Amino acid sequence: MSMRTLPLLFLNLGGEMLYILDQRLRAQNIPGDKARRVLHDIISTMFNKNFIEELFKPQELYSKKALRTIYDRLAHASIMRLNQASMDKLYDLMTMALKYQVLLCPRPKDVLLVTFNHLDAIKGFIRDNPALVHLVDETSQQLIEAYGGLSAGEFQLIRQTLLTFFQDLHIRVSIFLKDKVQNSNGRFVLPVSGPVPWETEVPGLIRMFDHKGKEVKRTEFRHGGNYIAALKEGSFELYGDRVLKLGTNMYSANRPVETHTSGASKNLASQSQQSIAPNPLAKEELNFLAKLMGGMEIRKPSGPEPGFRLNLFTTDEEEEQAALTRPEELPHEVVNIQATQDQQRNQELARIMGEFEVTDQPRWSASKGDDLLAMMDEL
Amino acid sequence: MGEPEQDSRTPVCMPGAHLPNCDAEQRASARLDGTLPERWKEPRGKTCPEREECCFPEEGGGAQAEGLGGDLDKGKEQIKGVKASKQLGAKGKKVAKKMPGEWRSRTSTEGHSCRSHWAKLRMEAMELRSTSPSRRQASFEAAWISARAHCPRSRFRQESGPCYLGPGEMPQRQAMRSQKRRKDLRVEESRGALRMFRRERSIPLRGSAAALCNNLSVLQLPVHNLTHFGVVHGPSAQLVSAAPEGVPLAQRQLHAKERAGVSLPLITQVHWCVLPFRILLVLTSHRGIQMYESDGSVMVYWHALNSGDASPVQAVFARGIASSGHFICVGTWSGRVLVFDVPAKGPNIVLSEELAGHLTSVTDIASEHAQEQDCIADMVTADDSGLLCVWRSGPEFKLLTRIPGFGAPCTSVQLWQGIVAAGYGNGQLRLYEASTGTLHAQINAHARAICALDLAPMVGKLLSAAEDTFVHIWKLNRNLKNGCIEVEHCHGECVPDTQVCGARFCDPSGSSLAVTGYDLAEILRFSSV
Repeated sequence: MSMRTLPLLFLNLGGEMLYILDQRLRAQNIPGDKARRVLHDIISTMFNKNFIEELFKPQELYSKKALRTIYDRLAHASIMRLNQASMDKLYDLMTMALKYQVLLCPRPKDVLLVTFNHLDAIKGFIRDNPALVHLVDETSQQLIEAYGGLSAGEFQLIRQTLLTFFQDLHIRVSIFLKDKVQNSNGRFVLPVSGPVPWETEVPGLIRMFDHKGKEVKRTEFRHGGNYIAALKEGSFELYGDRVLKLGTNMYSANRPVETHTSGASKNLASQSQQSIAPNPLAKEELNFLAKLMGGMEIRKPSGPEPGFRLNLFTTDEEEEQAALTRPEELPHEVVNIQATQDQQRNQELARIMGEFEVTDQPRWSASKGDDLLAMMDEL
Repeated sequence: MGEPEQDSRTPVCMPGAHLPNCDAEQRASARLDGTLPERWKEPRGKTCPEREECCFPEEGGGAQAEGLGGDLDKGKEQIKGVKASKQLGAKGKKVAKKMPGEWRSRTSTEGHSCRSHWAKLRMEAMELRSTSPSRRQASFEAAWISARAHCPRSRFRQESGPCYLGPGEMPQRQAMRSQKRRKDLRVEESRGALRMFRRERSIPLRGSAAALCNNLSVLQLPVHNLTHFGVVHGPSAQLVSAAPEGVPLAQRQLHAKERAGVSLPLITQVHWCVLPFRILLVLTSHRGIQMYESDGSVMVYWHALNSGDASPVQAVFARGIASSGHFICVGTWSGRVLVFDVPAKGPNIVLSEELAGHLTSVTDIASEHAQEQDCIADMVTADDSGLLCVWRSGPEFKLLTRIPGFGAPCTSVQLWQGIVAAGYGNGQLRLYEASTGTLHAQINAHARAICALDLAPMVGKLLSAAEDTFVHIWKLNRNLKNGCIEVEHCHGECVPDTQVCGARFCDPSGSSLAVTGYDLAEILRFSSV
């Protein structure tokens, strides 16, 4: 479909991931400096210049599996560790939240406002680091340049592409169920009241004209909804009032968030079609993935500081339970990138994996202590 | 219609209207604010049946009827008086007469006192063996409306409001005592409580419908008593044949022809093209155009899209399908419209022309058979910028008019008797004169983008469906005196929590329609009551 969708999808899903991680870090009482370190690392990896440059190149949307790989890597970009069940839950929450936001956007262009909301919130997480804030600002600037001039028809195509990506996902999220924005069958509630989108009139008026263009008759009809006129348009600048509430952090009120995966609601037929993608396509996809992730600089965690494990469930037992009861058809094995005998594996990927072993890239360290320790290790 | 016949199922009646000696004052008290709307005094088109008793035959008629409009005390008195005279046996029971068609309610109130009547209604509604909760809800709502209409008890009394609803009317707000009833009514109204359409049995699909515009195509085959439906799922399209009652008979899946690429190619539209001597099924995708026999069994033609001069940012696809005479016209991403010449038989289809008129991607094409008039505009193409091009078909297509847009993409377009009906991405519906391009009507029809339009050409009905979950039906006609185009709203229907992506009439008279929604793995069917 549209070739411009990947940046919007990636940035919004990344934003949602950060909201969830931030909420879990607070809920599990991870010490403040560790939590901050995790968020900083993930954000700096996400907004890395090369990576963003690759992201904004026109390309088709990846499959769900490929995108999942990117987020797996992103989530493990720092000292935090997530096991399979938690990673699954994280990804489910992210995708359902974004599906909700895209579905409820009043007009297709508002997906851009949702993205700006996410970026504004991300800037809030890293307020004390001007270098990172600058990176995020640059990404915002690129967004404005790439999408500011698009027509309404192109935004509609982008929205349709995003909705195609989210088709057949009906995972119930407890925070949505509680707020009554999702029904118990997993479908979202589409309200028929509230303000109409900007540049849309409140339905109900019929105006009829004659040959010369003069208005001859005006009638009204009852349209069935309960709409009011639009209040004002959100700002598409670097800073401004976005007006739209979709895309803001809904986890900031500290409530536990659960997902319920009901096996019946996952469309098995479409899933199996995706997982048995023919070989040539998989190769192409890996090529693109390799190029994209080549731009991702993953810093190996420095020696003495141990990683910690984050649990997305409320207790460890729940996590184990979830791991056991995960439905079989879920791809529980993310694409394992190994530089082994498999012919499909890309040379480029092998090179990147090789790079990860040797830490000779300049490292941006959190503190002087780390730098010293590293230098000492190399001696 | 003559004298309505007797029926044991009682119906709805209008407060005070059937009382032969009910004077203006009594009738006035039937409404809270003291005025009886004009239309209640004389029911539209039909005479109000003279009735001697009201809807609670066992509690004795005429006296009961007066209690309808009265106030609390009066009502209580009536009940007391009435209970004393509860002598009507089964033989002597005068049953309320059946009301003409649209006044009939669906529940029986015979043989119950008010409170047990209410309880029985509740039970009936809950026991209804309908296949869908919405059906049950609909029956319950109808029962509720009828119960409210003539229950004399103050709690349920309806001081105002007709018991039947004419076309285009919505139930009026009533002064409800209880907050809950008020809220229910608001929900009803906001959901388009005008139930002029009845939900029929849905047709299940193997995969959900994709979020595209015009994502439903219907081929009516009255000869075989079959209807074919076509819905795009994503990389595949589904064809379902169903019997008139909605029983699915056969299913088939068609896929887009693949070429090397990162992901599976997606289909943008599926449409049946009715040509003079054959019917072809056309599938447009991100790779090209595929044409099949009408049942989807054999592919007769494949045209690959030429993406030569596309910038890498530009998505390449075909979208917008219509048949005009023995031509099939298909729109493309660049704005060009490809015209294929189709022979009466065989796969010898050739690309005869490429029409240039649009600068942005084509969204939809509509055509109609040339009438006897001259200067026939018989094809309209629409694009992403809102521009409409009106063409005359022939061995060479001629561009007649261009109708400029106003910022919103034109997502769907229809053509009927020289009237162009165009639905836009901001929810507006506009009617233009095809030959001159003048705007004749502008309707603020929907609160979100319109995604599908369809016509019932025999009766001039237009169907519009949008992402705001509403489906509206309009009546178009030409004023013969001054040639102006007029439009009026007929019905509105809400499809709750469904982002509608396709809607079509299922019969030429426009009395039944089918709707598809994003992420919904079924085709919803409605038929008029």
